[in-house]
Amino acid sequence: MNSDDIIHLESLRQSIYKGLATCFSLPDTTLLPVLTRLEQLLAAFHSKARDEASQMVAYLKDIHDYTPITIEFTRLFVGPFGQLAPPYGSAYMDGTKTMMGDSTMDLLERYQKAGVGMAESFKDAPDHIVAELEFLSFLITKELEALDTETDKTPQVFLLQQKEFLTHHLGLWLAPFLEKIRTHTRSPLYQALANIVHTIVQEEIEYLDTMLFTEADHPPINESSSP
Amino acid sequence: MNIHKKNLISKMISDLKVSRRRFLKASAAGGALFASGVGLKPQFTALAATDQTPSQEAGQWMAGTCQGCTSWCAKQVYVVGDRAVKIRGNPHSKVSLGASCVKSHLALQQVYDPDRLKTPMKRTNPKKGRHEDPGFVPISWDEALDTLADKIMALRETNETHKYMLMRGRYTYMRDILYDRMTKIIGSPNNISHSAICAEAEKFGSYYTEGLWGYRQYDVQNARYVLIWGADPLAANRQVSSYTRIWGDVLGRAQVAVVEPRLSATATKADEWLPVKPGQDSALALAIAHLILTHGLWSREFVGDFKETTHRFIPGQRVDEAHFQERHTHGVVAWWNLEVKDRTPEWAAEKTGLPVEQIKRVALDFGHAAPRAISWVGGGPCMQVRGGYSSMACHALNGLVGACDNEGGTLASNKEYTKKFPKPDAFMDEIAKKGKKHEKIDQRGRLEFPALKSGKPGSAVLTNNAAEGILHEDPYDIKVALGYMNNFAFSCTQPERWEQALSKIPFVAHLTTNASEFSWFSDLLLPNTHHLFEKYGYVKSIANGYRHVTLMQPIIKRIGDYKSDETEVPWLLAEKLAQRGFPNLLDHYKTYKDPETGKAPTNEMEFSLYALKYATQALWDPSEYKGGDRFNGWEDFLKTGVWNSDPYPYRKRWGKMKTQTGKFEFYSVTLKKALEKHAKKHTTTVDNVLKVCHYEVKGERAFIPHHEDPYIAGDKADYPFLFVDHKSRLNREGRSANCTWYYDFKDLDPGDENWDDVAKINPADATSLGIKSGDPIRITSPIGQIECTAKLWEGIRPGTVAKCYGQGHWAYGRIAAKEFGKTPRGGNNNDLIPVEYDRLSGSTVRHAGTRVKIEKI
Repeated sequence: MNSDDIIHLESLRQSIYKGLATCFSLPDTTLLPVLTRLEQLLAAFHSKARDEASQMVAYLKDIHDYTPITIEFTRLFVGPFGQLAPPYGSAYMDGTKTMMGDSTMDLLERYQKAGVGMAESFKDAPDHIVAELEFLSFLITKELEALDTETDKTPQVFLLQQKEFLTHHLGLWLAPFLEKIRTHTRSPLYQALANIVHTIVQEEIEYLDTMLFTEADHPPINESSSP
Repeated sequence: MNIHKKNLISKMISDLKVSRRRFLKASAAGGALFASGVGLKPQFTALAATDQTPSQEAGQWMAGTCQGCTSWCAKQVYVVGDRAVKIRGNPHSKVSLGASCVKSHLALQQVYDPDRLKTPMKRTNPKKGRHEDPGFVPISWDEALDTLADKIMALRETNETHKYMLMRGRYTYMRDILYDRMTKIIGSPNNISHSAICAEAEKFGSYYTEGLWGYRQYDVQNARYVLIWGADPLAANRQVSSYTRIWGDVLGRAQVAVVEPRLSATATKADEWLPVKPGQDSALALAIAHLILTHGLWSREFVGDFKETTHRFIPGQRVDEAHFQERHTHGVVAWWNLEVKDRTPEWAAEKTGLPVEQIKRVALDFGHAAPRAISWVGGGPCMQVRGGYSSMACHALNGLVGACDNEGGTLASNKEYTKKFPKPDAFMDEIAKKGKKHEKIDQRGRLEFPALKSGKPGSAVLTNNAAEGILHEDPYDIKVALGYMNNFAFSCTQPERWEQALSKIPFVAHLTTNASEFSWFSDLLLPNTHHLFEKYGYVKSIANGYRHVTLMQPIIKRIGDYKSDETEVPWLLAEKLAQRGFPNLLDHYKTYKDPETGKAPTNEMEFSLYALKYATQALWDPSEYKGGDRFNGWEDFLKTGVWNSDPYPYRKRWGKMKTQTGKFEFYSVTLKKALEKHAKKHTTTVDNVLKVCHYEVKGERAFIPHHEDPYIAGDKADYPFLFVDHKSRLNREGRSANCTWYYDFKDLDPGDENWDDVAKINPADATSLGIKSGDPIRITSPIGQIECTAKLWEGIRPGTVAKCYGQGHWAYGRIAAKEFGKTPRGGNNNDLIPVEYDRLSGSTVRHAGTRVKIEKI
């Protein structure tokens, strides 16, 4: 194994998060190619989630009218008469039934520290599942940049940020969120998506634990090694 | 490669090797995959690179305006980063006095409500009904406005532009862009405001006595007696913030009496509570007038006097009009002869259920305080079937004691210098001109709906009757409707009629912050901005002898795809119409140029800003200065956020009132002219007009403030209790129902309970029904029923049952509804109150409207 292998591996992870983020966007005909790629990525990653991804692909291949899926997506994640599975961290973390609360402020600080903010074109809250999954993908992008031998950046810093984000933020609300999807959805597509995300995040935490398995092994994080 | 870096990567590889062979395989497979280009492009939709670092700076206070009720207080919002965190009164306002009532703070929960509509949506289920899931799905603004523009263009192509309808709820003074100009240029007469479910009847009294169709301000800081009719200034009736701040001083200087069947927030602090029988306010007002006249307490300075000192007002005896020399009033003797001479306190005691002694005490104390004695008329006595004359009777007391336009009395509005938007006439083509000439859908002006706003028959809106027009296609069918910041399917009495009416309209668009009951029956949902934080606009308000013009501005980042109702949406729609070959609206909007640069707007955000600068130019441009506060330019005004008028010019209107006589009319020549004009239009008599409007009066008494027993639905034997509707200090108009704080602090409304919707029943009545506090009950009126919780409370007149308006939503949000989209939380008072009107003003009836029965469930 060499440094190219690491880059390939981390690129897989980066693409998987990006693919998952797309799955939580309004479904249309572009979803099938994304899912097809996601299936391949999961296969390459030897993820246990691959089979469910295959089922999603098979299901979508038979779909010609996206309206029922769009309605189901809306029912779960948009409303307007209540979201059965609110896709916002604040819905699970703050207990205040308002947006832009403490958990979202924590999130925005994490974003900004990592050098990223909300895109002007994204008309939703910072703690939307799409933004949080993209943030993990973004952190892996930064990690990949740090793997470049011409920089002084420390890739482990970004691995640590991923781990912290998963364990101290997204991971805290993902389980109840996915449970709500499983409970309320009438669609095999979103049932499978909930299972896939659940499996992947478990694998990810395991992976990151592996990479950062002891406190002593953590590389020093100092000013010069920060992004 | 430097050694440190090499070590780091080696360690990563090593960690993987020792732990998981799977990852080794994955890396190899990944290499193959990426070599074949199968990876997903790392382009982000939600995130973008930024150089911003987490701010360590404190936030800043930014000016805005609260529209949580109709006080329209000037506010400041503390903004940290992109987030609003707290609210306080704007200290620069001489109207709001830097104070904040409890309602304003709920705006924080409203703006960050997770149930807010965040994206345009379209209906996928063509069937409409309470039990038909609309099946909304998200769409882009482009698609939404394309759809709406196509619908409007289809009406133009068939010369049916009158079948377009605009329904307005809460507005700012940017309203005319959408409400007036757009409707006219499209070519429809149907801009229907919510005003008649709000307050029109109380304006009737002041107009047909002193020529003022509008809200009054009350000079409470100089008053010595404040007599309040069916209003609750510490909770829900205009300038709640400033009254909350100064009311202690008011109580120190003046006696306060509150006329209302339930103990309101203001009544709890008052010197006198007069729990009048619902609908009998005019009896009390006339008895007070009787006592003022018989005790010689009227204002000689304003009303005038007998020519001979030997003449007096003696109970039951007529007075020769020639013996009295009036000054700034008209018809005091006629009023006495036709009505007041017989309205003794004993008679009033029987009508009102109030003790004779209390009536006398209040009347004489009020009279002795003249002219610093305010008769404050709220919606309570007026929003009744026969409320027009009650409104006049209560307001006439201000004329009698000379409080009208006087220090310590009741005042009109100070002069302000905002400018109207450019006229639309030149942009109205033949289709538009013809379309606008059609009768309005609310049927105003028909024999049974005089709607006499400002003396003109058929000029006042009949909001709730528009549902009838739509349902019965009378005068025609409505094909395309746009509603904004309104929820007529909840806020109008008998709201099920609106459910049916909206279901009947082929295409309804709703511009709203929350998916409400109205939205349920819509085809298109358009996410609106929040007034306090996310839009440009301005409103005007009066109190304390001043008028302010207070600004709204975008002060936080929008976290949804919201667009401002009165500026951005009409601009974007105008662009769509122009693309379809109808540029008139866009061409009109382009005339709203930036006063500083002369530049025409090129997009919706520029349009919003330029329109606001255009309308307010005389307030901030030193070269256009006309009066009031001075500013050094737009930025100075925007930063301060509020302009104050010059102080009120007391007594300037005396002898120059906008009535037919120029005087304060106890005998309303102005009303006589308006009624006769309406009768003539329908080739009938004034007596007949009043008869079809459910009034009993005939002859000359039709032109004076007089008493009639209330017109109330329901037989006393079947429905033993009179229903009393009132407003919350947390939620006067709505829009707080999905805030947890509304329920956390609901007991701020006297008699109410947190996290419950209670009907307040006098313990004596409850005992006879075997009901105790906490019992679930059903309240039934002749037209409907609701379920809620019983609360035994001494603060309600026996024989009546009071319930606060505001709960009973089955939509609007997960807190507002017990089950969002399905089951209401509590009961909506409007499900009990029959559709009726004070047909003279157009006002919907909310008070003394129905009898009910109460059953333990």
